[in-house]
Amino acid sequence: MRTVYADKAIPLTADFTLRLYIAGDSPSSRLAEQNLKHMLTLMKADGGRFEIIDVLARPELAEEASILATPTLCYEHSGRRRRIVGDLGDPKKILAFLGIEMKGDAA
Amino acid sequence: MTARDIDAADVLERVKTGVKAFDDLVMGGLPRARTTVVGGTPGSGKTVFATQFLAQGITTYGENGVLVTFEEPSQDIEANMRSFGWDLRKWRKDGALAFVDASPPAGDELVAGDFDLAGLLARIQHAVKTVNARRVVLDSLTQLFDHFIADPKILRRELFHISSALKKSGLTVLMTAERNSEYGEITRHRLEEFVADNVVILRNVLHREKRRRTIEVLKMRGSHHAEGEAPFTLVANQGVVAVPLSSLRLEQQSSEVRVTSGNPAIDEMCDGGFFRDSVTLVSGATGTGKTLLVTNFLAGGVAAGERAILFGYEESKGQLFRNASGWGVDFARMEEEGNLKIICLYPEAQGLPDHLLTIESLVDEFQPNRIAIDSLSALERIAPDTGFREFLISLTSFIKKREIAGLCTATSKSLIGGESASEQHISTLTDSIILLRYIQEQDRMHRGLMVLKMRGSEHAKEIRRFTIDSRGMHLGDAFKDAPNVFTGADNDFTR
Repeated sequence: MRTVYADKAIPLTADFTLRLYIAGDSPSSRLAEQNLKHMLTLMKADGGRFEIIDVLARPELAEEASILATPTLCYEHSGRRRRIVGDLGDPKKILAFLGIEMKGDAA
Repeated sequence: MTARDIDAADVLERVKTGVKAFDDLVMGGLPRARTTVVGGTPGSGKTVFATQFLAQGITTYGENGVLVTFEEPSQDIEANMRSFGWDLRKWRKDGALAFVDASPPAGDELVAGDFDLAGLLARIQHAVKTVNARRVVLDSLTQLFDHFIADPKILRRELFHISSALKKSGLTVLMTAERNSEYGEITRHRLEEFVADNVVILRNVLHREKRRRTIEVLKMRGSHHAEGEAPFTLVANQGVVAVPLSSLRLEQQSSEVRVTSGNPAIDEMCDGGFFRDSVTLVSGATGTGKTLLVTNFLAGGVAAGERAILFGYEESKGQLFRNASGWGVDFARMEEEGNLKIICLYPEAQGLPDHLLTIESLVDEFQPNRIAIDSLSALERIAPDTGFREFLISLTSFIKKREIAGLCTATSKSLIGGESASEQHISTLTDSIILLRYIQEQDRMHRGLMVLKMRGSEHAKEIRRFTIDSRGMHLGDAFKDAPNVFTGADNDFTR
């Protein structure tokens, strides 16, 4: 398992977890990783955790989380779960779906 | 069929599903390391068939399995399959079976952009490794398509990938898929086109207010298979039980041993009695004495030290007992002594395949030397035409295989002469036919009996008049002026 903790410079809030399940270094997996990093820079949040899990290396973790498709981004926040399947190509749409505020939002 | 195909058929190792008649249809079983798609409408028995494939692998053939479910959680499947006698939970605990629960997760999900199903494949491969599986079932792909409804193209690509990867590991894969109609496109989303080496269709057709389940092998890459629909039924503690048809071979030995018909005069007409492994049809209008012949047949067997079984579909047990004692035969005592078994069933109580299985299992349990069925016409009433013919073929072949003497009755619809539909069906399938007819002579009505055919034996050709009284049937002289027993229209000759 490759576990990558978010860069300290990125402000993260509270107790949420983001887990990205990928399959080796397939093109869509690499694309999702890049897009996620970019997305993290847009987030207006403190704290939290962020992991990347390779299902080829750790199939039991995929089993545990009932992952079918890769890449899948799992978001957990105070018991609420949301999933995004795909290469995370549209960070704004994803953040809106997750209900996470973006930097520079007027809100 | 090219030479190459024949070679492939020779080398393809077979994986038995354990549904015996089905394995016969596909020349021994599903080819190893291939993918079979099982298509069917909801309720057609796909999950049962697929689970049975795994269950038989574990219990009979020493092959462990993985069950991937896309709809029901594993606990539900375990509960549902218990009625077929399959203890999935125990197998799971014993490490013979692994589940992959691929039902949609709780919570919201957004699908955006390209993805693959490497997660699913990794989980299946992990489960395969854990229990050292040789068989994998995915039930059902349709739910997976519904889950990723917007991306059928990706799914096709990914399923092809999963299928290839599993086959490469030597796994025999069975995938179920839903169909919209019994005789429409093969599966919804046409998934058989890109994943299936073999296609099997389960049907559950409503015909004349009766359900009729059939299984058909539609395609089997590089191999022969029997064509057409074979009936099957779902049985508690067994699962899918297919009724063998196309695999039917006339392999039974023909016996020269004669047994009594229960009436010395009829034995004489038949050149010494019925053959031990033959099926005789008694055909006649209502009231001509068919049930009496059945009673004699049973009593004659028991008197000769045989065991006899009767399946009655027209009268209750009480009525049959009363009829018999009216002719001086004590069925109750015979049953008490264990030499006779009488089973009375409403024809409508179950479908024909189930009737056949009831007969087979009771015969195997009681081990009789002779069997009577009264009447086939009552059974014909409940069945669509093709179903009845299949039933008869299976029944007569079963009776012959067990080398027991069979007597079946059929009721003619018209009082004088005439052939009923069941006679037409049956006449080619039974070895002997005895006709009972009302025959008019001047101003009196008589009963006449003739042996119409008897395979492999001489038999009397005349029509004998007979009477019935409190001691049974008495055969008299032959009729002098031959009336036409088929049309009953003997007057026509003179016109």
